Amino acid sequence: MASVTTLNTAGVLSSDRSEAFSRWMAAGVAVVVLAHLPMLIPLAARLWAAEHYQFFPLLLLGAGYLGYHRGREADVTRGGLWEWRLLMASLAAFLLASAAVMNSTWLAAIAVMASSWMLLYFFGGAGLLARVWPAWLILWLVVPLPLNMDRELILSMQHIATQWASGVLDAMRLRHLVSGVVIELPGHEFLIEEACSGIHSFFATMACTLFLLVLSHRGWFRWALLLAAAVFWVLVANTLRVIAIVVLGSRWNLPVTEGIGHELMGALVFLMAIGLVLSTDRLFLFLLPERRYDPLYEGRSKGRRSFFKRWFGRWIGGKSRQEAAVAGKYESKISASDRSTADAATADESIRSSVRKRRRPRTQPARWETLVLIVVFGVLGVAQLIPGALSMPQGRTAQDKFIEPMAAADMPEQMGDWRRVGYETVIRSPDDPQSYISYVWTYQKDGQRVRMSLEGPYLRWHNLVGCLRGGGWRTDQARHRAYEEIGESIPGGFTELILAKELQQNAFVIFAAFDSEHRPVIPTARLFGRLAPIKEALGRPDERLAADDSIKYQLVLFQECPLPLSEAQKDDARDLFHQVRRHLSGQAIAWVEIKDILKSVQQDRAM
Amino acid sequence: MQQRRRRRGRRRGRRSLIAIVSGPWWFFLYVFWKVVGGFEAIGFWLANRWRHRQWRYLVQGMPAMLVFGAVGVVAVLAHQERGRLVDRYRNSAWRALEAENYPAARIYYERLVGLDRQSEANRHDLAVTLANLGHTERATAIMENLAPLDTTGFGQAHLWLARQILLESAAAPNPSALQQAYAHLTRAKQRLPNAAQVDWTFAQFYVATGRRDAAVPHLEMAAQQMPELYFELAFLLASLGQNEEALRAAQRARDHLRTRLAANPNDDQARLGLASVLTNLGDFDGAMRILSEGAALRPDGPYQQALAAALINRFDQVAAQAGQTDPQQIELLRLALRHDPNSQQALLRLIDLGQGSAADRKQAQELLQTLLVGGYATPFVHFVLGSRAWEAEKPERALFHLERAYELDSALTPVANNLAWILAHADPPDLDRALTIINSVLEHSPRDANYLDTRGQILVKMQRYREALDDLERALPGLPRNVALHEALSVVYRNLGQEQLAEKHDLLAQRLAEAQQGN
Repeated sequence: MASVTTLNTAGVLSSDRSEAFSRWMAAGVAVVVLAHLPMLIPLAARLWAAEHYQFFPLLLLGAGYLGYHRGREADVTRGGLWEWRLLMASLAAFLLASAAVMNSTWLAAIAVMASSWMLLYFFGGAGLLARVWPAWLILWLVVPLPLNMDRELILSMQHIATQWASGVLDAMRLRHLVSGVVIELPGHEFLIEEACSGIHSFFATMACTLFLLVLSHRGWFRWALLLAAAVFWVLVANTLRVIAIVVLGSRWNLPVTEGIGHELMGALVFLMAIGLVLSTDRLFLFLLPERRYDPLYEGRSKGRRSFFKRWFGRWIGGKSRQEAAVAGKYESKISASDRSTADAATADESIRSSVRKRRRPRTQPARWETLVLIVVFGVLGVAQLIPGALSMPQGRTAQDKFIEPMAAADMPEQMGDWRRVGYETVIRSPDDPQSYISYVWTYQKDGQRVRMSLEGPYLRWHNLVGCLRGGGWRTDQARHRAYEEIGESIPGGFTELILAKELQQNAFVIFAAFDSEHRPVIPTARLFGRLAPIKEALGRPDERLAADDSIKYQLVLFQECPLPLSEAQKDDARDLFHQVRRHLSGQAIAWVEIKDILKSVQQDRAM
Repeated sequence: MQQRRRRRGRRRGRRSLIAIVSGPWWFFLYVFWKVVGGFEAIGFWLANRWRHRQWRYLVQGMPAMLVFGAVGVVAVLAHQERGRLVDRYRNSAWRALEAENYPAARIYYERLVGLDRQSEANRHDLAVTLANLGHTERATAIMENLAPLDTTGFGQAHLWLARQILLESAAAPNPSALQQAYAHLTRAKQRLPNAAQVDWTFAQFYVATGRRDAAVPHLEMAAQQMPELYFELAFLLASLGQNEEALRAAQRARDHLRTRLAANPNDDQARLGLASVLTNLGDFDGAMRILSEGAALRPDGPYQQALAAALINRFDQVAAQAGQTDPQQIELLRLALRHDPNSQQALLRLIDLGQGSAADRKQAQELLQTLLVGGYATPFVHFVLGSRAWEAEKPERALFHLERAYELDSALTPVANNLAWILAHADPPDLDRALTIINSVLEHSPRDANYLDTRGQILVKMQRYREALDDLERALPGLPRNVALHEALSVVYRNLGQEQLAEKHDLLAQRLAEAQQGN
């Protein structure tokens, strides 16, 4: 490929960009981007559905701006090694294919990151990568944490905020009780919800901190310090928020637990965290000033100490401002004498380092490489659009709707020996870790009282252990069981938990997930459940199981008792759970049959 | 040569000696020099960096420094406070329990138990608080954990469990539960040998199991520490026929309560207890004097009702002794109603009063009218007047008073029931009005047999036999010996074409009437 190289005023080899980036490369980039779109749309929907990821459009814009700003001055003529290009392209294609087969938005996000890295190296070479990688790093904040780790993070932050706030309240002599993530005072009860955990300000603050670090060219040591400080300040700010809510709500009954008061508190917390992060950065700059080029110092530092000092100094201080200027930034802020000294030193250094480091010749991507890229990703993209080629076969996807609104009468008044004594509907916020909607029936028998609830909607099997831990419950035993164990012929299973709290508070919980056509879900804890879609794609899918992409609800039985439940009591509870499950299943089956009948009637009318 | 050799040897020896002695020292010096050199490098580096520091960064970094310092201070304070938390929470919990602020006490005790898991007393107090909040199951579970049946646990918990069992057994006696109560009491006695509460509960246990004689020594021991129990002891001894001992016990109770009252004239419990003791000792005037003093000290206290109760008690004594109505009885009721015009017990006694001479009846009537004019317990007074008028065979007057009573207080369902009955049996009967009234009564008490019977009778008169049958059959289990009910059922079945059933009810009515006449 023809390229024109000149020595610019900064003394760096550069290229004529218009000829360096050909139409083939542009086509390759376009095809790769388009191939990811079918997975990017559900990914964007998932991110938007989670409140703590809703900042992602701003983050994308910011990272894009940063990448563009830094990438303008990159040396794209350096190229790369074809082996690396091939390896990265293969990895990116594999990840995209896996994401499409497993219908995993998380894998899709990983595939996007891998593909973007691949594209940067493929068409920009090591030079572009070296310049733009911080912007790429910031994009990782948009990748949701896998395996529900963000939920675990939320719960952990809720617990930390609660415990720290409790310590401060004790120091303030405000007597209270902490039960999980609930702070109870006489006459008042405060639940440290997801919004109060600090998760929203955590991600936003981390993004802002990363931007600050990248823009200001800090060294690795400062990166570590400032990021750690950002985490610390988020936790501190959120703890202050919890304390303020408890004090203002309990002493003066101010409306700070919901509504505009709550939102204002959240905004203040975020601003406070950002302000403290910036202030910490300045403090670090004072305590550990940035490295400046000093010829006297450089001369004296030669010898056996020079390596250690240079390495340590670079590690602490990052690039000196002069070196940053040579790279294309802050030229106006450096004095002329510094510049001339720096230019000569840096040019000399760059030539020596390039001679020292280059072992194999780097090349620009050949046309055939770009062609292969276009073909592979083009096939992947087209395959995603053809139904059944990569994703689940048609007909298994359940109606994308949560179950119909339930009422008290949807459960019989008498279920065996159990008598229905209460009903309520609870509606929370859409991204509440517990559930958005809960329909709760209370049953009673011989002094035992049980809550049967139907909760959702969920995208997958929802592990209740975290939610129960938030209520102060400790899981003593957790067991997954299959329906076949109890003599039923349906696949899937349910989970039983034995819980305990402080001092004579015990509970027995059974829960299981279904789609809106009441097809069961296999309970999964971590990774291994994700293998099921692969098996389905490779073999015959089990029509009796819920579709992986369907909206699900969860049936939960909760029985609390001062003493540990006896086996007889547990058997009673199990009987009730399965009776309710069969009752709902019967209703769901009837609904499906009615729909089929209606469909056939409509077809007859059409004929 | 030899000298040279010797010198060499000595030099070698000296070198060896130096090498031996100073070798390690050189090594340490070398290491020390390197370390110092390293520190010097860091210091040199820092000094070089610090030459370029900018003071504006310090100013900008002050907020972070100050907040960090504040966080540190708060953390230290919180850490120090942790050491005192147990005592502070215990004090708060105790104060809340004393003030009967059980919701707050629960929070503090729950926290206290979390902070100090080993303390049995805290867990016991938490259980007591939970029991007072109605969480009896959990409270019992905690107590059972503290005081298992098969071992000797926390004494107070054993005592509490025994009391709970006795309380439940009072409603439904259960021999096995009483055995458990005995086991708990025995273990409580082991742990708390001198506690009066244990002996008092033992006495209650023996009384519950019908062994009053075994209760006496325990109650005597308990009374030594709790003299207010002498009153209970007096009752117990009196029930055993040990009247002299009972008298002595009552006198001791009296003396103790007098002492308490002298120490604190505002002690309502002592004053009321003393009045009860004096009443039981036959010192009615003394009891009245004590209660009158209390009423004078605290006009808004419970003494007016206590005075009325004492007078009614006296009325009952006099009525039992006198064979007929005594003017003293009316005076007693009058005084009782003066102290407590709303006393339903006094009013109920007024209903039956004056069945003898016309003068007594007139006096009772005047008394009731005085109350009515004074606006006291007006609905109930109307009810009493209406009932008395009905018995005096003055239906118009009865109707008037009962209607007034029902209009003033619709919750007076017995009044309404009587009113509906009267309306249905008046001449001419007002059946629609009667039905309306009895329907409203049944809305309050849909399962009451008497009210169902009334409505059934009204429906029979309205010739709505099918509906009447529903009400009468539902009333029958509650009033199986009611002659009028069987007669009404007979009419209904006959009109519905069920002759056999009608005859059976006729026969039953006849037999019941004969039996009641014979009695």
